[in-house]
Amino acid sequence: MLDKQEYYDQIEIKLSNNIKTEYSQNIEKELMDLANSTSMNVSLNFEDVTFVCSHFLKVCLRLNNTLTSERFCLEKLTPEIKRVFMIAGFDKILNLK
Amino acid sequence: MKPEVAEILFNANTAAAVFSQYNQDHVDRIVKAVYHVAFDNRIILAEMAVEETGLGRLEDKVMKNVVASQMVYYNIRNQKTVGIISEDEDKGIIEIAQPLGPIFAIIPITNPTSTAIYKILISLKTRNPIIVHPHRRAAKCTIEAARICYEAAMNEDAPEDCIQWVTDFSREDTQQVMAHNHVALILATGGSGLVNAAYSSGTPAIGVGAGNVPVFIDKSADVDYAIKEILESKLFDNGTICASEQAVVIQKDMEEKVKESFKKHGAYIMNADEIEKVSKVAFNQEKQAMNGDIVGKSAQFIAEHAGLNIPIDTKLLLAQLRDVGENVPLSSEILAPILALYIEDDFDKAVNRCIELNFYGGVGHTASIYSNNDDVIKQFSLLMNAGRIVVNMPSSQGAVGLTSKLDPSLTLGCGTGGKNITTDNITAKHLLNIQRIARRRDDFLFVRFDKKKYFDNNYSAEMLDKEFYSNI
Repeated sequence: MLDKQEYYDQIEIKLSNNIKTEYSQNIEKELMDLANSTSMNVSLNFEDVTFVCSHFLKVCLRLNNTLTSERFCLEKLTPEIKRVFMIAGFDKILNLK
Repeated sequence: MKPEVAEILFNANTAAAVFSQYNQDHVDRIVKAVYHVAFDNRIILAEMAVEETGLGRLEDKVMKNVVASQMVYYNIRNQKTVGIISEDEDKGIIEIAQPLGPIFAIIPITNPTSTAIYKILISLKTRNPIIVHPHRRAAKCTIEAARICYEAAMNEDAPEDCIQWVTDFSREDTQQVMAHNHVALILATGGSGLVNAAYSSGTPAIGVGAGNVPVFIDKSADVDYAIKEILESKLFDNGTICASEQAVVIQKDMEEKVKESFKKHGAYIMNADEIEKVSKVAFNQEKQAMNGDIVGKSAQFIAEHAGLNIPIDTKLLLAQLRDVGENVPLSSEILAPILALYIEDDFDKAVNRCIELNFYGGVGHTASIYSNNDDVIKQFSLLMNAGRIVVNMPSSQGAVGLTSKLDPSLTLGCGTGGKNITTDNITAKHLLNIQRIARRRDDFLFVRFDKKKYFDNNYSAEMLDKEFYSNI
């Protein structure tokens, strides 16, 4: 179950602190369904995230493919997590705020 | 680039990003699990390697897997490879270990499963994802080694795709991967073609190719012991280790004793006609390289192919030679139980012969000496251009760290002579970027020195030295 908040034209999803493969697999379908059905912008809130797995990095790419970077962004990344996205080279693909 | 090749690179880069978050405890758990599974499968993997490649000997392939798993693990298990690894308060330097990124590992046919295990262990220990590139004639066993290691790593929550392997790679695929900016380092062990391609790719590479190991038996040595050890080394996996002895050099007055000992331990001393026949099957004159068909084969197999009639208990073919170079095929590296023997008039001529052999295709690799005279050992070593000079021990086993305290390794650095940046045995420490936090530590002599003097044309280095050091 996603922790969702709606603000005007945006849906913010607050992520759990430890995004391991199992958790990522559990939320993937819900996230993709949301991406396919909403007309609102979507942001993922990484404020509490301390670890992100390979699976979730790829989920982020799939969300970006569906929503485009106009409507999808990653927010409040800690330096540790921002570095992960930079090493993967995803800063060139995703909208990191 | 083919989509499947691009996907491998993408996955490796993603794995590198995820791996960067792992702490030392977690890394060590993964490495331990991989060591366990590799060690537990040492025999089956050795069987697969011998069956698939037709090279070497089962018991020695098992021992290579032991070196690659147990010895390498014991050597690296307590090393700090994550985060802050050292702090020196006096110098104000703190060292931080960071991973390199994806490693492209080229695996040779001669040591397929062992090299794969060893490269996987040192890569995981340093949080670097690894892409294993097997030799096409050793693909099945290499991939099986990689697969079981990956399974064990994943059971300890390693990053997805931290170990990948490639199959049916064309030369073009290999070149594209080597040159890709997602690959941080190429660990190339194998034939000179691939090693040279790795160096030409523009990506940092540690490549190890040929050796040509001379062994000097000094008069002070225990000759029979030396010959026994040389055979143990040269016959190890039918001579497929590039640190195995290629030529024995002795002084004339030891000839009888040495030849007797060789015969006693199972060597067959070839005559000139037999040397010529064996040279033809062992060496490809056109390519100026050993013939791949005899690599890792037994003395009996080679003799049969050369049309030699040798005693049934022959283990090694010995060729007494007089020269070194292109016209003397057996003076170059042959990874099989064929050994050259040089008999020289005196000490200087014997050492000169070793230098010739060393410089004929073996610069930077390995040299060997049997001596009970420390001065001779040092004198000999100073004259060799070799990353490791092994003393009174089998060269194959000594160089890889089985019978010495050198770092256990299946990739032996050859220094600049071998186009390497290091003469070390390659291990985990070579797969790290070390960052240094440097705090201010002024040199008190420099601080109190009148800097205006630097701008005085008459102020000389001699005056400077006096001022800096006269009162220390």
